[in-house]
Amino acid sequence: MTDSFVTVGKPKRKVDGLAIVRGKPVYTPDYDMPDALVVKLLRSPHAHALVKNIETEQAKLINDVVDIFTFSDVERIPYTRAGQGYPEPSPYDTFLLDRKVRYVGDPVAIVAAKTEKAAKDALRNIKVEYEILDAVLEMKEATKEGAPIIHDESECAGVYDKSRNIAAHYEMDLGDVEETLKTCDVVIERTYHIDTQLHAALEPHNALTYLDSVGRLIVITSTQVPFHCRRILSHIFNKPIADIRVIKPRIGGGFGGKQSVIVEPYAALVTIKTGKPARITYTREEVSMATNIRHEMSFDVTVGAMRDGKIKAISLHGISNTGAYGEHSLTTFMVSGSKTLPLYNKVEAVHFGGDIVYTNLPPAGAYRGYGAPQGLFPLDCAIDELAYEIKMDPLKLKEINSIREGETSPIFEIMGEGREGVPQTMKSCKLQECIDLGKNEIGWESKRGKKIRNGSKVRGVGCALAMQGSGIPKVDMGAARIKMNEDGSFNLLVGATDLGTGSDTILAQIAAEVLTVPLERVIVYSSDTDITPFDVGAYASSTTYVSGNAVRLAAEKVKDRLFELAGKYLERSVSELSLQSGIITCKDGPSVSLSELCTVHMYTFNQQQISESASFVGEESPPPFAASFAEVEVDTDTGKIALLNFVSYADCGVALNPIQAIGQLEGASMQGIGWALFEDIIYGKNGRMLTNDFFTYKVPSRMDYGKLTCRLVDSYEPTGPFGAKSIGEIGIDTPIPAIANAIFDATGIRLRHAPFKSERVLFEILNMEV
Amino acid sequence: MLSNVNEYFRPKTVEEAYELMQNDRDHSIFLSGGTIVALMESSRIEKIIDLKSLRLDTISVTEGEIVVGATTTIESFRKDPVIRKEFDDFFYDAFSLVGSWQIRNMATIGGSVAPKLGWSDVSTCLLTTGSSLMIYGVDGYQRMLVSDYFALPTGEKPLITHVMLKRDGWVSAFEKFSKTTFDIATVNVGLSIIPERNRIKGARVVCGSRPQYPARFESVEAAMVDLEINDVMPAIVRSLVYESFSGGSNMTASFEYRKHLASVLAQRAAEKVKEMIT
Amino acid sequence: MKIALTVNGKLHDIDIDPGEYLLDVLRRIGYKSVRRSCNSASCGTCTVLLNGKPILSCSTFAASVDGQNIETVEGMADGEKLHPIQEAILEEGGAQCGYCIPGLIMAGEALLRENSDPSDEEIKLALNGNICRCTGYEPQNRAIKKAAKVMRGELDD
Repeated sequence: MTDSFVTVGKPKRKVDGLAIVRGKPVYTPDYDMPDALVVKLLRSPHAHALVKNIETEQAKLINDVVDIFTFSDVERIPYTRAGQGYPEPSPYDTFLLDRKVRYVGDPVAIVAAKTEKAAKDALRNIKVEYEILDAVLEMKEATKEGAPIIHDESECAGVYDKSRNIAAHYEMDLGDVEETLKTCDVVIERTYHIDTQLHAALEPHNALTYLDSVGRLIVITSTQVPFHCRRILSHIFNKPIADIRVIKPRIGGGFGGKQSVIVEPYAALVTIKTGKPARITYTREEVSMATNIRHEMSFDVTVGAMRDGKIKAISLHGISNTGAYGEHSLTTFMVSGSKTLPLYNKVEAVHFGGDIVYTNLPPAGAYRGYGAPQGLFPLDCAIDELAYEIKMDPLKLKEINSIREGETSPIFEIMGEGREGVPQTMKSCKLQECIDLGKNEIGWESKRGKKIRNGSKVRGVGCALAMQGSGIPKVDMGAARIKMNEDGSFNLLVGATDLGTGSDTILAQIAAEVLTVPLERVIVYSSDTDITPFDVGAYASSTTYVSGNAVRLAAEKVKDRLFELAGKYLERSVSELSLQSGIITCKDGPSVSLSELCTVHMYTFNQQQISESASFVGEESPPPFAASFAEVEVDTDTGKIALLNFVSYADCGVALNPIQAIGQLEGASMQGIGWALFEDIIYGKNGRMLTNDFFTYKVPSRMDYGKLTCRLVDSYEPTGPFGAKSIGEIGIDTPIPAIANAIFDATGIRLRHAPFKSERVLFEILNMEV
Repeated sequence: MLSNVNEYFRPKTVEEAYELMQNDRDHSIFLSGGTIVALMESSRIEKIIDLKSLRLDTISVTEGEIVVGATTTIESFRKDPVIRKEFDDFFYDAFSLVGSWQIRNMATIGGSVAPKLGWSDVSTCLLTTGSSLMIYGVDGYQRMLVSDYFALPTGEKPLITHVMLKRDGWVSAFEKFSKTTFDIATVNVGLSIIPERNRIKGARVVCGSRPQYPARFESVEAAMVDLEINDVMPAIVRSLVYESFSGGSNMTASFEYRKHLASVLAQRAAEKVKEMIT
Repeated sequence: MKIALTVNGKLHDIDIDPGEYLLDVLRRIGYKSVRRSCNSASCGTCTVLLNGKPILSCSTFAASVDGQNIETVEGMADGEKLHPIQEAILEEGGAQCGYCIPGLIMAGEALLRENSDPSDEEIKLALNGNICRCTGYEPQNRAIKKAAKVMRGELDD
């Protein structure tokens, strides 16, 4: 498929690769601004409290402290931190500083000082009088009678039911699940619970703000959503969008943790109030406790089927924990249904619904997978359990009930993200190939059910199928501008946000392919709200599909323009011209190189800047698909799960850059593996996050797994740029269910609460042996 | 940065280092490898007393013991050919999972024992091999067992200058359980045996990260004397440890889980030792 | 107080605060490849070489390495020519966001100086303290293996 391409589909080196391996100063903390004030936040030690009084006079007297701001110094404007399209489907329940604190770590005061020492000293000298309130520390307590109300403020908007701590609610029914279950031979009813997770991106959240020479607010920040950031800052400070510029340099990872506007407003406030540059850098503890975490979710799942394996009804009813603030609350919950249920499209009835509740815990937000992994765990594992009930191979059961190319599911039309979705038929779906190749790779037939023993250790294999999406259809828009230089090179300006994913590179590859120039002749500049055209930002696996299509369209326009100009220049009609390897040739011989064409059009002939732009909104969101397999060895004496082998085959359409695409699959898989086996957030009795550093919160290290095999299957999505869909998120969906299923194969124990802590596993084993 | 630090000392002698500490115990800290100090991030610290300048980083061999300078790094200690040979790679293997390579290049043997950390694999292994410490305190130089050091009252801050490892021919093994491979122990176990005619003549059984600091389990050791070194011995050790385990719960693990793990690790260590002897 | 540091062969005389970490001093004097990530000696991002050995600059007091030799990734390339580890990382796709890369390169270099033909296990053990959240480790391990081959002269650069 990609053999005919020159740049697309090739494992090209990243365009920013040299800067990365040379250790160049290209990240936000590397921007020098010697007189930038240090911004630090005083944070609540209580999970739920009223701020009765704050005394800052003592602290302000400390040498090198410039100013201290409390809720009385800022205009009370409710907003959402969520980096989403406007109007955001999240409640406006957040204030820059409030008279109430809702989780341990909630900011109470903003300190601006000349040195870090002075800032820290100031923090220690601010006196706050709190009236401690009862706190909701478990999501199941949130809606109970008499539970303390977390968002009782009158100004907040978009909350589903403040009195019961319900940030959002969703219900959907297709057919009649109750009735259909009555006609089923077997019904599985279970409850599955998936705990929260930290993003643990290596670069802590940080931002630098200053006023330029004409007083505009400039924000340099580690963000996934520069345009949403600009708009939200405009809203918070009543400052026209025209007066704000947001720039994203290289960033050190995000995974959704930087898809909200978290640190920028504090630094911006200091700059606006003092006129001086300001820098805010979160410590690792602050990143863990006070940015955002994954939505913890619990689902009651019911699956009804016939003995022959035909699944007829699925019900997923759940509760999601959005923490102290409701950003991304409705949308992540909906995705746990909208990007899982369509996989099993042959059913007659579906129910999906539940509440997203507030708790006095750190706010949950966007995180790779965005609800899909939380929905897939109950869905895939319940089907896995069903397989054993009817004595069928679970892979076979999932295989025969899952969606294929040319098929559709009514769920696509019913459920989008925060609103209805769009109907779509699968124009590319290579799930079968993923299953066939993956099961061979892991040795499914020879290993399943064998329970191979080695002393106290026993082995098993498990499988899971997944889908995701490619952008939010009819919502996510990306745009690109291409301008030409006289040496035949091009500047590609995109709003699209590269967070290490390599989007700059693959977008350049698309442009280079269309314009028939080497990759090096396309110079990418991205994510600067003054200069680059709009893009929603990096989320929902949208960059390749949405931004990529915009780049392709813009490049096609440039190509058309080049033909038009070349036609005039060579005095031929456009139909006689062709472009190859940067040269436009006429059928009858005469040719002109792109560099000559541009040079004359810049200086001597029909002078104009050759430049075009294009925008793209997806009419659909063609899902990538994956089939994953885990081989585990369970130590029945200690409960430790060793991951011997994890195999994942994905259909991402055409892989525009195979190395980068596989890299996304591998990285997401490892993040899912960490979530399944090692990553564990523990709160103290007062609601304080105890596992707030890498000493206590363990992400996988190199020696923590056996083999990781991630591959892509051949596929082609006609609506995608050069056939591409997306690959950024799907890898994280499958490890938890695949590993849970493998543990069952090995031990006969069903673990329905993730992560699979070894202590939990051991006591399940001991219980079973009794 | 520790922003309240205003003095950085590089004492030339042990006596000088100790005096500096006595001058302002509440605000001073001995610096050896540095990793613990960095983790503490205390604003209380105003004076740093760098022990590296004492050059206590050599390893010397006498007839009865090996004397290791306290500021020897974990990595150079474990890779030292004399140490590897004498202890049959016990320390080489046991310390391979202490922290990371970087941490092993920084953390020191003395610095690992000094703060009486519960989770120190180094402490567990030193106890297992019956090691002693040379400390310099209010009464000048004193030799004491590692376990006695742990029992010192918290106010005292003697300086550990050397670790003395017995050359007694005991056979040792170490087992550690942790969440990931770059992690402190949930619980760790060291086991050492001196055999005589295929029976256990003497045993040292140590359990650390209980979560409290490592301790010898004397009742287990006594019960092991005279046991035949055969296929059932490790299982017997396991149940002995299970019965005698003392420790607690914390956010990493419950007491019950630690008790269970300790017994399993003891069995595995006993297996290893048995393999080495037979 | 004053210290002297030789960084990548260049001698620096520096005024420091006695409680300052090596990481911040290095960044201050221009070596911004050295980055802060976790601050609890738990991720390896800040790895630099001290007299050839990999250490964590976030947990090392600058004063304690007075007069010593420090190496950072800025000194790895030879002008335009990249070091084989740098080339291999680019070739294998071992860098995504790139934040962990300087620390990884230094630890990798230290490994290959000690052991010119490390096994897969030896590579993983030596680099176990260099966390990467983006790549899932596979391409980085391959890159070190490949760089080792190049440096032994068995493979063309």
